[in-house]
Amino acid sequence: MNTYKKALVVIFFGYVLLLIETALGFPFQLGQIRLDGLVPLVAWYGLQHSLPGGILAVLGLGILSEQMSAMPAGLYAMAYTGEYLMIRYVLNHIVCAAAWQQMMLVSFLSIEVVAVLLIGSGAAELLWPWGFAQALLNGVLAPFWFFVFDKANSVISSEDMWFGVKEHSEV
Amino acid sequence: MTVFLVLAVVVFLIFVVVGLRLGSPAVVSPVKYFFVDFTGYLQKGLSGPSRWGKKIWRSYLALQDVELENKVLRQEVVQLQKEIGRYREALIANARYKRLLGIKENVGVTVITANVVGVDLAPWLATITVDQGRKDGIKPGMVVMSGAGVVGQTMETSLHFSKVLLLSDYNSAVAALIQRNRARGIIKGAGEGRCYLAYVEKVVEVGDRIITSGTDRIFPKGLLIGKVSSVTEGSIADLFQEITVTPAVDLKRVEEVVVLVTNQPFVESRH
Repeated sequence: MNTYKKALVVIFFGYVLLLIETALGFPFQLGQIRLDGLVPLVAWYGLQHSLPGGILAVLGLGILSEQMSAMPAGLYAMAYTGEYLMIRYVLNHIVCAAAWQQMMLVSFLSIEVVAVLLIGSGAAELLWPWGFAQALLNGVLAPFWFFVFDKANSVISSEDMWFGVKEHSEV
Repeated sequence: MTVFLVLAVVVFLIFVVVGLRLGSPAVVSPVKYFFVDFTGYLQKGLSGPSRWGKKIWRSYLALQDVELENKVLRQEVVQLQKEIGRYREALIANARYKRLLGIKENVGVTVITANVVGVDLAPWLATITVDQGRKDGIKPGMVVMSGAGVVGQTMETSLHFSKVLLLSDYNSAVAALIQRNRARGIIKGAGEGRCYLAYVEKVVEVGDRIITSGTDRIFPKGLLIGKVSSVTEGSIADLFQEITVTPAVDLKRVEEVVVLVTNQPFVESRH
């Protein structure tokens, strides 16, 4: 699957996650934090896809998120783009194979995303403790999300169900 | 070089998105409204089973305590009938005074029931999506209530869905009145389903009922907002008391709301 097709698939997955998180709502929230699959999705995607094509999906996810929130315009796009660019910057200096490494990476990136969103929406006082608690939660759940995304990716790659093209032979 | 080019394009795209949303809503509106409607139907489908599940569970729980509840309700009915008698008297007296003072009656209101189908993506922003929109006459700035009291106001409407800003949102402010001593203040959102009453000079007591004052031209006078749950003396930095208000409606669990649809602002004017 080429980069642009993959970008569309990731945007679709992001949309499904957004729908579930907003439709089922409060069970996904505890105080000022929530179960968030979007930050791990951007991190997972950023680890695999380089700049020119990769950024499109991230911008798409940002714009979609913005439509489902009363957040000021452009904040989600900016936060996710920042996260993606940070991953691409640190990619040459890290190995992200083990679960604890994924946890550390996603926690670190979540702080950037949460800081941009909280400060940008005028709720900077929530950064401590809620912002850091959100970053910690995202980090703890990162291996689970990475597992889910890897599984979904392998299914889509082996049988290109979205575009009706088989990329690998069954032999 | 390529990296800088990509960065420039990204920054440009973010500015385009922000510019379109802020500057010229007419360009983005049809696309956005279509997206909101499309997403709203999917949210409605997803939230439906959970809503039905909760209703069934509540019905089951209600059956468990039905005898005890009946007894309590009968006692309440007796009390309420007495109160209704007093209120009727007050209503008649009120109508007479209004005639005498030449105060215009409230404008006509249509009430529309709506289900909550979605919540805001950011947990610290208290907005909800409901399944009624422009086709039902809903516009931004209309009052949203639940059985017990005020929920908030509509802030954005597409054809079939509307976004509601809850009382507990940090950006929400409602002109309020303490029912007991008629002191005025502003109800502001404090997040997590809570509010506080700001800028009150008179003495406030725990348990005081807070109602809308009608001076913000959005909420009609006399709607129940909630009750005072704690009062702390003002500090040197802030001379006003810190008054926490528990809304009459559980804003984190609201599932059904009513929207008061009107063509005129709620304001009492003298002629």
